Amino acid sequence: MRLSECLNHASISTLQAIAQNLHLSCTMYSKLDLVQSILESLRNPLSLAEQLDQWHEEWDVSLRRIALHRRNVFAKEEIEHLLASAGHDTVNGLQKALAQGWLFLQNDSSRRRFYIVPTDMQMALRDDFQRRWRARVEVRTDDPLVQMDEGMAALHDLHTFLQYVQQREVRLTASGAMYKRHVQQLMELFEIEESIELPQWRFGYGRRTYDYPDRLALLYDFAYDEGIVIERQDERLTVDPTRLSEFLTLGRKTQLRRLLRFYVRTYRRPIPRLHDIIETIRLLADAWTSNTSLYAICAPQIQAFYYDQPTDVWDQRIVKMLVHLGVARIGYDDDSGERWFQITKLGQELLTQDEADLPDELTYQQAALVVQPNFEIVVMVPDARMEAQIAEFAELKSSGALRVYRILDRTVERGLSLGRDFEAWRALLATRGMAPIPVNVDRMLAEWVGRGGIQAAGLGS
Amino acid sequence: MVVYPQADGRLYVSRSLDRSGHLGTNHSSLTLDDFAQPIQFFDEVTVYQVSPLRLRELARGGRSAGDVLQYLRQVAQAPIPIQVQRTIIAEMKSASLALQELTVKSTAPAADVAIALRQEKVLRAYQYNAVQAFLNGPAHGVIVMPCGAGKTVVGTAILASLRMPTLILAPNEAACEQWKQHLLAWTTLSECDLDVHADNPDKPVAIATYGRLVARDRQGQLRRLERYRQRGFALVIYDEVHTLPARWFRLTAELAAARKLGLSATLVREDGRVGDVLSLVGPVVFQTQARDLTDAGHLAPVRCVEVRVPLTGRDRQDYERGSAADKHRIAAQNRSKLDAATQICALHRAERTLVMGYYTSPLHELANRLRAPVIDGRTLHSERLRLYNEFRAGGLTVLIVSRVANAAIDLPSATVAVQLSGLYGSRQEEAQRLGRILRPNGKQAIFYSLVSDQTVEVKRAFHRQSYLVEQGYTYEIVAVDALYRGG
Repeated sequence: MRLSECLNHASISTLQAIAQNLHLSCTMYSKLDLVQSILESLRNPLSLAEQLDQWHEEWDVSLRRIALHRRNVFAKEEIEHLLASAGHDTVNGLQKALAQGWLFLQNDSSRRRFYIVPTDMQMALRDDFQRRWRARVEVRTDDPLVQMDEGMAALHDLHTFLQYVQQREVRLTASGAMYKRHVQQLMELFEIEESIELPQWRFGYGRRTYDYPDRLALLYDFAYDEGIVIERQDERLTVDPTRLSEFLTLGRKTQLRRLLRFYVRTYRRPIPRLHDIIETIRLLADAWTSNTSLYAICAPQIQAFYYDQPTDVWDQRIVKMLVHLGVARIGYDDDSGERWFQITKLGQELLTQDEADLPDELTYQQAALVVQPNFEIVVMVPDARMEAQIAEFAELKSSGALRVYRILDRTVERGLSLGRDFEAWRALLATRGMAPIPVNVDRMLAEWVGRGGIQAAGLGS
Repeated sequence: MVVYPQADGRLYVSRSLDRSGHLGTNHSSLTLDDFAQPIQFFDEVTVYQVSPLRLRELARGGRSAGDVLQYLRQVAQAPIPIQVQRTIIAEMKSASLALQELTVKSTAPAADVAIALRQEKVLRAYQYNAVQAFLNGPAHGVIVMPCGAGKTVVGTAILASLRMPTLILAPNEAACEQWKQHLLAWTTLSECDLDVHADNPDKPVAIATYGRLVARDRQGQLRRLERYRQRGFALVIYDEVHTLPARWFRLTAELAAARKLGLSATLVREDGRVGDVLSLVGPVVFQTQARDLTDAGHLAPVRCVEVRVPLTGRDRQDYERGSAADKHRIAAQNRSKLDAATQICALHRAERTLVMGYYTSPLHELANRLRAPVIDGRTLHSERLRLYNEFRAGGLTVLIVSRVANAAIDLPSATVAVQLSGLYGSRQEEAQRLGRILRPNGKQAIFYSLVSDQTVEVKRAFHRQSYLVEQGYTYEIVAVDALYRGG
């Protein structure tokens, strides 16, 4: 609802209070006159700026939270709570805000009371914050030498993890964690490796924080939360094939967005203002922004969490994780110098677009892989469902910008012994390949699956 | 061109999958080859590896890590892994620091050898580049070129440019002889300037085999090594450096010299000690691939054919009962292979054919059938040279050799090679043997490998071939019957 509509619905006493506050010299008894005068005043950039200055002074943190809030409609307790963060007592605070022209009381038919910030006012507040902060952050126009950008690695490694659980017998300890051997192997297969030496205390950042390094813990918890992996009673970890295939039918960016949502949901407990912080970052860091200056702006929203000091929370729980999720990237010129922070294009998409609007570069029927004469399958266009099938008779060799599988006699043997459909697999390589399967590979495959050795081919040159 | 960078420094390059077509904006004038080295040559996707050496070279040429990263970010389809960025920065930084340390001190070598290339001799462009890469590169370095590309030519040209007292180490006597003939033909040196195992300290250029260099006398002393060390060669050339047995590495690398040059066709070893070559001799300063030279017409194209020969009868029974070692031996000495080899020689009777094998008794048996001579470990040195010369001159159409002739022998006239058996799954031997027929004589050559079907040899052959496959060669696999249906 826009400001004009809110004013039209407002009571005459509310309008009078606003007009007084704005020092308007209009007739206080004509609603039409009041509405027009208030609109005129708040739409005038100069007088609006004046009001904003005053509101900032008065509301500070509250105003910031309201400006960055996902919603613009609040219940009474909610708005009281938000206003209280600026140090006002609840009744007076609310009355005061209602008299300023940015918050309105809304009565609907069910006689429930809502408080609403007009959408155009919320936008104006947000723009105003953005302007103020921009004056305080340091940005650079050239690119830093080193750039830590993980792109969609989180998603790739999630797929790798799920594939791993599907392919191997993953046993769990009595406390339900994967054995270290598995974690080690996963780290070797992952695009982004983490140290598996964990500090003593770990809690608060998800269900399995204690057992795994941060990034793996997030991926694991997500998969668990989605019901894709199941910790079975007999201390084994398995994959629910139905849930997995449902998940994989989503577009890749949609999958990643779910992971990002899950991160915010999980980390919101230790970091209650996480959403606002991410929104602040998103508004500011479209260019390379110095980490120090960005932290200075976000700091009021960040508190220590047990042993995590506010700077730890910022570096380890927010910045590092946003980089892992492909939302942000970090750059620097030399190891000791200033760190620079930037929201990625992918990050902007994930943070602002609805699931349905997320464009996905993936079109399923196009050629997507190359079988190399050295028995490697190079996946050029990522497609988790296709890769799950590739992995039936091959194993992941390296992951990165593209994923490379290799075919070995034992991987073929394994696939056969598990009763997988070799012909369907070979057909997949043939139809999705950018080129035919190399003759030497095809021959060797035929031999491995025991289709009767070498056919006597002519020696024509 | 689209580049997909991997964390291990590999760059997968697809030329057909260019969806953006943005390479027109290549204003940085860098190319992938400036900082990466191709390691696998396939039609669809070529694989490069980021090369520290090339990065350092680039840094010495005044380029910065920023230039490389900027270029890479332009062509890459995904963010550059942080490890790759770090490697690029670290190598290029160290290059400027180590510049003084690595280049040759300007102190002139003790003696100036009067040597020059003969005027009529002209290097090919890539040979010239190889020479320059070594001369302008670090003091110690390795040049990798496929067989037939002219490693000896390059070594000779470097010797002629540096004009230093030189020791040339080669794997066997025949190779020493070849170096000698080559030096005489290509340079102004005369026979009296050369010292082949003569131990004459007055001669500026000495040639020896590795074996003689590290031979011990009756007291167990390394006398010759000691004498060579005292002679103080300024340049040591290690021919076929990758073939050096591991235990000889350290001994021969002890020779102090202002400059060391390693020459190699295949930097691949089953013992995984390629790193030793690089650390004891020096880094790869120049590398060129068979495929590029074939495309440019410098090397004859080669067809590789793996012929599956059945193992039957008594042999098969023995094979099934035998231990792992027996299995290899029985499969290698499969008697049906001799029939197949005979048939191949008949098919190619007009061409000069080289038959190679690991076990000598089948070689001798084949020699009897074909009435062709055999060179093995027991053949006298002079006899070997005579046979090689006769084969080169065309007096012999078939020559049968054991593994003594794996490397460093120039047999430019052979266009057919038959591999009866090999040293287990040695990728190096496979490449070496193929190299015997990789010659710039224009005619397509054929390389046959005889493999006993349904035995351990199949798997071994698969491994042996993997290096050549990565170099872009393809193997046709055919059943033995195909030989009899005419080719």
